[in-house]
Amino acid sequence: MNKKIINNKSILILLTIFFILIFFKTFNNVYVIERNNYEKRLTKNYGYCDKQGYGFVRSTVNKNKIKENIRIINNFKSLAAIDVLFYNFNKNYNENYLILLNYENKTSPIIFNNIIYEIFDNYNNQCFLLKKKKND
Amino acid sequence: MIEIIAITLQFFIFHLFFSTPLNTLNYKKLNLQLSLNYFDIIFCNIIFHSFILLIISFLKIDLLVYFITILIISLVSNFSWLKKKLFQDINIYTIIFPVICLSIFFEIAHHAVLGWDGSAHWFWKVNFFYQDQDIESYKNLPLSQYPHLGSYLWSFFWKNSLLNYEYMGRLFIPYIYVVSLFAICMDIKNRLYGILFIILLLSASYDIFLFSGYQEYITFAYICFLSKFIFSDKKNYNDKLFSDTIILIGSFCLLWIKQECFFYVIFLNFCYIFFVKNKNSEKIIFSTILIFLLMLYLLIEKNFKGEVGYQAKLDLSNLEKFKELNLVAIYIIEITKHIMIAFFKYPILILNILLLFFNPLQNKNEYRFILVFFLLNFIFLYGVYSIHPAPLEEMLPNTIDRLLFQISSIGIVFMGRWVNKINN
Repeated sequence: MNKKIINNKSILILLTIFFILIFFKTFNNVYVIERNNYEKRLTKNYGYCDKQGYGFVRSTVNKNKIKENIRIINNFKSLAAIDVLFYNFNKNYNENYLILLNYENKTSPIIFNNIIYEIFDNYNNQCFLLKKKKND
Repeated sequence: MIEIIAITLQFFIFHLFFSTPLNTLNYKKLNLQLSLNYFDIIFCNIIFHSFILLIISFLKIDLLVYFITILIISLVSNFSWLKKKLFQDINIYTIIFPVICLSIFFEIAHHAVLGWDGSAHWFWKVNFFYQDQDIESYKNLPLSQYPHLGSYLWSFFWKNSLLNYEYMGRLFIPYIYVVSLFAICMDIKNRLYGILFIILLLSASYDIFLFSGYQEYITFAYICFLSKFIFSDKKNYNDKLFSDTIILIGSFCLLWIKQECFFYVIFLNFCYIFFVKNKNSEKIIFSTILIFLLMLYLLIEKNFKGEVGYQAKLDLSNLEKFKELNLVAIYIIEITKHIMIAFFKYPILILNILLLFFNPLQNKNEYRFILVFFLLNFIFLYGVYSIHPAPLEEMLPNTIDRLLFQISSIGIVFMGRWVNKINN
């Protein structure tokens, strides 16, 4: 009798655990975490040069060794800005640089808010790291 | 694999951190006749630590020292529990609890992104505390009117996590959400019913989107747990003192989670004072302390931020638009429509309404409590949206469902008691 109760309990526990793992898609989640590191997942979810453009911002900041904060402007206004992910409270904005995301532009220089910028880094003519043009 | 292990360890870190100062052994020394279960005790600890961390947020104390100290105290104080009661306390709930927590943790880690409010509002505060900024400059942050306790806890656990990933910090939110559900379900004597009830609650209230940096689940869990304490069976003076202390400290912490919590705290405690408390002397003492805490909150907020403001200026002159009577009808219809939509988005709200309609508890005071609480909240909702300057179509679809979701946890307590009654 006791054995039967133990068996019933164990089966209930196992079934519940199995249901929970399926309900939360745990197997798939573990698989994705295992196969893609954190940066890869962030780039996939925030987009490289689409959506919030996390991938482009991360790579261009690292590539160009920019230590200060940069203003990021995303043409997709319906998405929240991701400046805060890169923001350092102990540093100021470097006003010489500007990142434009999801912009259609093929010509250089770019005039933005009446300021002339030259293209410093470009991905697919859609995402740009701009540098303020010096007056000759 | 490292990330999977780190997430798993993070669960044990939360559990160890929130296993002190109370545990199933030492709480008996308080001479309480309240039948607190294992998860009730954990939630009492959550309230205790939230309160301590709220105080620390205004001071310059090394958080790592606090974190390590609590972990060591917890290890030492739970050592005798491990020896004496570990096997006693193991049951189907304590086995399933980590499975649910870890499953949600993995889902958050998979998505790892912040939602709109998460990145536009809350993460600024989190990053601010993470980078050890002075609380005095908090007023310079975007939307600094938002209270800071949720963000502070997030940054605290992020800073003290094994991997330096932002999402590790916000895993405490699903942890306290699951604790609050288990605190209710563990009281159900029939374990099969209890497990089915947990599954029902999870299916009706789980939304991964709300774990993307939103604070709604913290409010949800707090309201759930405070309601449980409000209706706990208090047999002696110690029980009353302990419960009221938890309710008052919990309410005070809740004030610092979200702005609307100021109203939730007033409504919840108003119903407690009028429908649950019997003695006039107790009502007066409790109300006096509550008013003091509300004033203290406003005073501190004003001191740090210059003013107690809201996202938009809520001005009575906004009501002038209702001179056109057809606008009143439009507002009522639109708000009601979105309330109905919210019911489909979060089915836990439907469970609450069923509870109101069928009143399975047949206890007048409990019924009045929940009825008046919901009435006050609905008046609040209609009032806020009428007075808000932003256009309805902009505000309603994105906010009303979350406002309702936060208070929906109040019904869980009654549902749990009802399930127990069926069993008996």
